[in-house]
Amino acid sequence: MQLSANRDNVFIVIPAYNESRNIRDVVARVLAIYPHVVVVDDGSTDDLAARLTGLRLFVLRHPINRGQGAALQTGIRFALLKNAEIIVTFDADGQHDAADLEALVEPIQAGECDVALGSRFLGRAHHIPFIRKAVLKLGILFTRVVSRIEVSDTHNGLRAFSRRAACSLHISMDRMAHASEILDQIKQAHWRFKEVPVNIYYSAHSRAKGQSSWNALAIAFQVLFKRITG
Amino acid sequence: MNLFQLIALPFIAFLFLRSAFRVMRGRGSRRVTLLEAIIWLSASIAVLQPNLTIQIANLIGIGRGADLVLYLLVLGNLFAWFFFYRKMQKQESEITELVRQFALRDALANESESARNKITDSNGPAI
Repeated sequence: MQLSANRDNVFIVIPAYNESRNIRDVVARVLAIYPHVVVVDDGSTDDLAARLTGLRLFVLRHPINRGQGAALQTGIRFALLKNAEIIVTFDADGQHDAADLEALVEPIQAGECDVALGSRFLGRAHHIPFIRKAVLKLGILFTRVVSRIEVSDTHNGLRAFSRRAACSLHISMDRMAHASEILDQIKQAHWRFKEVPVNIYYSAHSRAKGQSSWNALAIAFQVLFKRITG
Repeated sequence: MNLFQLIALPFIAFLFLRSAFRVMRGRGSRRVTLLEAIIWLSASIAVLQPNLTIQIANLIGIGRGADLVLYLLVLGNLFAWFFFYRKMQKQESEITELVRQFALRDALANESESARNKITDSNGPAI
């Protein structure tokens, strides 16, 4: 009873763009553990919404594609409107493991921290391509220098926020630079954060769908430009 | 007057008059049009008196007048690029906020509708 009460105020936000291939499996696996799932369909042009019929969940739809950061912010705001106490963000492409969710939620429920960040380098990154690993490590170094926050994985989509942290979170970077932006805000607002080891599964699909490593340059540029112009 | 001046000056004069007319008719942003007028005016001076640009260039340690114009162009372009980038970012975030409001409104509307349907279902005539 205590456990189910604790799960009732946890919302899992899944931003999805043209993920009809995996979305049903991903959502079903999450729903098996937590009852409240919010999928933000970020202007998909495939039959994403149709794949979700019959499942008990909230589906929000951006009429046009605005990027993952924008979709996350929409889902988080919706979860807050639904009185969520803990909000977890989860990727739609199947690279995350629903079994890791509880490990992220627990420290927040216990009041240990405001934000729990998944880390593939504390946990296991399965079949991670060498180039991707190198780029991610560079990203970690960049974050240490620019944001002055020490984390072992800067671009992991699996994160949990307390209501307080989620309320003050403001993602303005619509596209991929939001990961750095979230870390900046954690640092600036002095939220207590904790890194939790999680599994990441690199499949042929997630590799094809995911970011090109060259995008890291664009992200670095956006972060620096934002810093200069404020 | 040389050939270049003969071709360039009427063209610049035309652009200057166009800007002037626009201000008189009160169309467009006054600041932008004023900036335009200043640019056309200084362009015509530079065409008529090339020596003047050379003198100004020498004054601040640049060898040729053409170099001075080039540097000013580069600076102007950088400024414009910066200005438009910021403006674009602002518009992007406004569009996102609009899209977000749509998504939230639709989701909340769907939900209250399905809640209403549930109530009518349970209150409906029992057969």
